[in-house]
Formats: sequence, structure tokens, C-alpha cells
Amino acid sequence: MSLTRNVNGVDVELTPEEEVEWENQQILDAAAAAEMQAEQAAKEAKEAALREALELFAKERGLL
Amino acid sequence: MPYFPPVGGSILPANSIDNTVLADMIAARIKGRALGAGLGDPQDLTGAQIAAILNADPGPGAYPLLATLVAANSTSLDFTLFDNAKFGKYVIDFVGIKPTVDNAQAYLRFSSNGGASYDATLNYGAMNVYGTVPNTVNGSGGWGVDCITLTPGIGNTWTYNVIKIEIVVDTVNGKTAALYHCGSLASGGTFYNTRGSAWWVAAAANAFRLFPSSGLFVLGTARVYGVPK
Repeated sequence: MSLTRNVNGVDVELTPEEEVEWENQQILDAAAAAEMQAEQAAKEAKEAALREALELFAKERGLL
Repeated sequence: MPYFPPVGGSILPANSIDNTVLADMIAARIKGRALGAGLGDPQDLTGAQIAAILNADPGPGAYPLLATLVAANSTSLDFTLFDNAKFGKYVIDFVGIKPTVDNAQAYLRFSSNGGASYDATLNYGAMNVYGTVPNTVNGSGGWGVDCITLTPGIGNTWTYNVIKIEIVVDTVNGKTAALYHCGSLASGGTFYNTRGSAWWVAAAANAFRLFPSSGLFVLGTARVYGVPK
């Protein structure tokens, strides 16, 4: 299936060079999105560990 | 007795022909003369022919429809028919948007060479204010980004996502402003209602491109109107 864009109301096929450029951009975008998700997951895991440590600390001292 | 009509004049007295004398017309027609038809008899114009006349010479208050861009698994929707001598503003109604990739963002870029290329460098700035369910208000934005983010996320389950964009081109100073409002529902229940503005500080725009951050636009119709100066 060839890729198209709509220009002024008319569907126009992408050139082979444009198709390659578009596909490469999709790969880059997917990699960037995966990296962002990994960063977010790492941040959440760090926050959870910190929260757990604080709870333990508070329990040990009878604060909770 | 022979009748000789007056030279250069009508054989009928002025104001003597009423509508009942004219041939019957098909419904939904207006008498006139089509754009480009040259000198000739009046015609019964269709809506498309009337629109063509108004688009060529819009009167005050008329916003001619310049193009209808319909997405059908499209990488982008491009508009290159800017006429900055005639129009001071362009209004885009982009409705029924559905991306292939769930929660893809909608991006906007400009061209100053009629669409031969679209600026992908850090010449854009944008500010977004958006609400997330149930009652949180967030903000984001900044200068020096490579496109305008019209919405942070469009769920691909629904097709009632809508974006309205107004583009003002300052041909004297070579700048372009885009004002936009967006309502989009992301999968997971976050409703984005963004409002923002952005300036592109390179040159007067004469084409724009709407495209998703990832994948294609499965559906969506963008109608582009010109507001005469």
C-alpha cells in the first residue's frame, strides 16, 4: 500500500524518498516514546521505593 | 404593416417583462453568469458556480471555502492555496479526527515556499492550557520547538475530536500567528481542551501542514476558509 497525503483536497502519493523519510520518522518517534515511557516508569518506581522507605522509617519510630 | 425594431434598443418597453414570462427554472438555481463564461446570455447557476464567483470576488462578510481536505489514512493534510494579498486570515475547521495510533498528537507546521518544504526547525512556540478528568488544569508550552502541538492526545476510538485554527499572516513583517482551540478525548478518559497561540518567526507563511505525531490520520475533514482583508 502506498502512502498518500491530501493536498488541497486531492490525494497525492508520497515519492519513494518521502516514504522512506516518513518510515524513518515513525521509528524515531516510536523510540522517543518508548524512552519517555521508560523514564516515567523509572521515576514512578523510584517514588514508590522512597515512599516505602519513609513508611518503614516512620513505623520503626512509632510515628505510624 | 412591417415592424422595424429601434436600432440599438429593445423592441419591448422597459419594465414590461415579469418572471412569469421567463422560461421555467430548475429549483435551487440563481440567474447570473458563470465565472469565466465571458460575455453572453444569463445562465441558471448551480451552487458550485455561485461559490466559484464568491470565492473569486468575496464581498465583505463572506468567508469563501478555499479547500476541503479529507483524510483517508493520510500522512498529512496540506494546504498551499494561500492568497495573502486577498486574505488577512485563514480559518480551519478540522473535525471528525481519528488517528491510527491511539493518543497521537496533532501537529501543525508552516511553509514559506508554497509547500515545497515545511519548516521542521526550532522556529515555533506554543502555549497550551488543558483540562484532565475530573477537574485538574494543566499548562505546558514554550519557545523553540519544531512544530505546534495542537492537542496532547487524540484517542482513536472516537471521531468527534475537533480543532479550530485561525492563522494570521503578517506579510509586512514576515510573521505568522496561529490561534487554536481543541477538544479531544484521549483513551483513558483524559479530555484535552487546549487553547494556545504560536508564532513562527521566519517568514510569511503561504502553506500549512496538519499531521499526527505518529502514524496516519484515518479520518478527519479540514475545511479551510479565507477571511478577506
